[in-house]
Amino acid sequence: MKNLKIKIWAFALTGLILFIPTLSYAQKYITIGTLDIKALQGDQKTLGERIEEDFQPGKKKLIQIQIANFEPDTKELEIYATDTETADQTTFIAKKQLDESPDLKPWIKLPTKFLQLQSGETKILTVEFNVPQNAGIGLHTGAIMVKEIKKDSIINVEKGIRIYATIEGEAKPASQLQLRGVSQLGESITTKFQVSNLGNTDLHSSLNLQMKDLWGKNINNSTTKIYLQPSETQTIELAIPKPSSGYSSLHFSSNINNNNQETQLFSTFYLPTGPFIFILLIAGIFSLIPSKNRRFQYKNLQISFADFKIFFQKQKTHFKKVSIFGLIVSLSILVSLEFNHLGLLNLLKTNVLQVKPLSNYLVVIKWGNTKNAPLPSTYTKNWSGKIKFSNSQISIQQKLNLEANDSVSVNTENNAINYEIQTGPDNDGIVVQVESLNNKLPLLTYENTENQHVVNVPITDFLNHPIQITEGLHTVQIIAAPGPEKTLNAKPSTPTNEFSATLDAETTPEIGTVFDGLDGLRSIFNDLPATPEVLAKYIMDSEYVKEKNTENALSQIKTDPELIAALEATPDIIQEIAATPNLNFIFIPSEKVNFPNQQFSFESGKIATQELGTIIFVQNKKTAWNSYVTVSDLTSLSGRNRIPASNITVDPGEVILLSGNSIDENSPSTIVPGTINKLTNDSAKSLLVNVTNPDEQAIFLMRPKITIVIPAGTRPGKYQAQLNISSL
Amino acid sequence: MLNNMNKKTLKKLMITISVLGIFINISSAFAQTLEIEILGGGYKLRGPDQLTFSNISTGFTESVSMLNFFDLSTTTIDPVENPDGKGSLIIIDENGGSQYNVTVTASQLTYNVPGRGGPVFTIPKSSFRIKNTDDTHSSFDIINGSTDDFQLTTLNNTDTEGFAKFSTNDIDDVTVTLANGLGKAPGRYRIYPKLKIVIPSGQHPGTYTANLTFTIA
Repeated sequence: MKNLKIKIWAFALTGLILFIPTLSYAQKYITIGTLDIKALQGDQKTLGERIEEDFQPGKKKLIQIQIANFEPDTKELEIYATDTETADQTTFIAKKQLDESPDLKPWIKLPTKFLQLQSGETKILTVEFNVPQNAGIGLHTGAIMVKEIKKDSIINVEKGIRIYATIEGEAKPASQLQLRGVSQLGESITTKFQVSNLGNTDLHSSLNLQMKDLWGKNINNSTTKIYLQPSETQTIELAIPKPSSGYSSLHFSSNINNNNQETQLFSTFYLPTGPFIFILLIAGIFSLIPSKNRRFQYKNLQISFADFKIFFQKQKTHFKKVSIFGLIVSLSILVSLEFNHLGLLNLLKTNVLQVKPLSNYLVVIKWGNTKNAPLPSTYTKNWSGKIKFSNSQISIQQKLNLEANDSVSVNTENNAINYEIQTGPDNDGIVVQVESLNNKLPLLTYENTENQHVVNVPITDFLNHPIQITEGLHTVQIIAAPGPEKTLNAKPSTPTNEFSATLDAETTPEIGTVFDGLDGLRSIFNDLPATPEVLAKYIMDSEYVKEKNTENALSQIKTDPELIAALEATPDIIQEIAATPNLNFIFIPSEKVNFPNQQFSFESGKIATQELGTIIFVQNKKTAWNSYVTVSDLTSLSGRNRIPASNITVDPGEVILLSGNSIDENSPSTIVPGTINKLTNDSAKSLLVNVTNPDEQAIFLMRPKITIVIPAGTRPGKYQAQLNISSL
Repeated sequence: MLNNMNKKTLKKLMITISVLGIFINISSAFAQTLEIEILGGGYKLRGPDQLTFSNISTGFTESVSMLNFFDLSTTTIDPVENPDGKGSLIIIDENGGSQYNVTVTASQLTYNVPGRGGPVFTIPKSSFRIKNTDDTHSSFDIINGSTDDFQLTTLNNTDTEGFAKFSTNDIDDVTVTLANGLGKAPGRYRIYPKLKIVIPSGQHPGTYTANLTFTIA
């Protein structure tokens, strides 16, 4: 702005006879209409008709847009971001406000959704582009739309600015498509596909399931569209009605990354029920009608009962044949009905899909108070015994919360764990890698030497679904997951569009409950370990955790906001990270809290509001505690100017419980958020949350908001303050 | 006596311990940095969009015409800037970060005789002059800001009445600096320039026009 030159042309006229004004000033309207939206680009903040920017994954960028009202009346405006339906060289059509916009829209953070512009007023908004780590290489298009809200009008006026966002890099599209199952229950055939985007570009495709008859004519089809960002995986179900009868074949086609593929999944022959019953009737009737020679005797039948007896004896063999024939036909009908309803394919599938043992498993064993029984903290339970894995070789990968008196070791044959846990129940545990031998399914044998309790169970019984072996008030919990070779983001050997339609794909067990809600984590980590415990350590060792400090029964973990967002969806993982008893945890976003930029004004003060980000609290302590914030004065970088802390208001927001006890006031444990509080000075404390009578672990999050009132005439520049979150 | 002293000491010690205990239980989490940027609005100038000198009769002697900005009736969007509805040059610094100058240049006063096409008669540039105060305003007014942050400049190449010429040799233009700001803080100021035209003797009658260009940078 230093070089900005503003010129005013004034017309000075001197004359002897006449004054002729030559030009009068007129407001210059840049575009048609009375609503204008433009981008401020470059250091000189020149006005642009579109936003064209290069972005880098995982980075933020602030872009200013200017919205102007040239109408004589005030405008009420609604602002929203959206993706595009089409954005080729000739057409650029933005999606509707309520349409699903999974691509560019999630990147865009608007400072406000609603805006009021007085007549002739222009406002500048700073739009934040948060590019996800897994943003696909290439062009992403969208728009920021401004809609006029006219309550009494049936005409909606919208104006938008196009966004052409380019993620730089070498595009390497790659994908994997796997058939995960076919079922024929009910009146339809349902196929399940898993599509993984293994490349670094976005994946757009349509999947089509088609039933064709003998001559290749289409009988039924079902289509769906998918959109996946890099490293995302989606399971798609496509259902199609069963054909009524005859030969038919099921075809699947896709056009992933413009690569058209079609394959025939199977063909089958459906036996119609109606014609069979008809055949049976005809056969029965024909069998009952005697031959011509017998017809005469049949007439004689009517003469005497004795003749009938003779006839019956002679026809006995014939009736037997008819009965056998009828029985065969009836059985055929029954079989065909069953064939149609249960589906031969299901039987085939069952045969094929018998789970082969994986070569590698990760098994987590935990000894503890997994029932959350109300026990005094001094109570401990001793366990000792052996856990054997037949048909396998094992090694301990990690020990969880084991203390000095606890002992866990692998025997000399490397197929069993000898354990002696003395400090339970405090979620002691181990992670064991189990490698199957000779392609046999590992079998677990649990032995408790104290009470001679023995449990035998194949590993598939607790693959992705925990089993709990009860020992009084306590339990031993065991869960298995596919081992490292089956990690989620394992890259294929050929990084190209891969189509795998063989049912062998089913031999890889589906990722089950252990991995539910891991989409967020998957988007920021390349390879996720296969169990929550290992994953917890993996996360804490990652660069997403910036700082960790534990003191006075509180562990504060400063993490990248992306990780916090990902953890929100996985309370189980948070539980693993924060499994230490009597130690509370707070996950605090590590990034600077950036408020929307404000325009300098001599006349009017400005109000800026910003969320601090998501703060996750894990309550393990059994005593009451609270958490509060203090904020220093906002000081300009030069140090000469100041916005006092008394201009700051803290809104704790609501408590969102992820797991644990309720916020119900009737509950013995209450987690109550603080109230909206205007600070009085830089040492004033504002309560975030107050917890009384905690009696069990609880995980909850809060998204406090800070509002700053900027006095009119506050000098331009960057102002910073320090916000401290304390726990007491 | 000794027991009493021991008890008092013990009480003090207990108080100390209890106070210490409160401090120990407070856990201070990592500090987060809040940041907000207030964007400067830049430099702005506001003034009348046209200046009209009063008519004057030509003759065979030199004559003078003057114009005070203040004598013009004008309005701006913001009434705070112009409460009296009088003319002035309003100088606005919404940055408050850098020094700046307010300057003015003028083009030559010309008279386009209708029907002849092209300029025909001119008044010499040196005859067109300006000063940054008028007869009633010896200084500037502050709308916002500080007197220490803004000042009127002393004009060069002035005539006896203190007007600076837009050209000293009738060929080269002179940029006249009217004021400068120190940029310590945002501010809004009003100045009241006065224009003067010395009309040579025997000047051809007609309507003479010129452009004045005010610049803040």
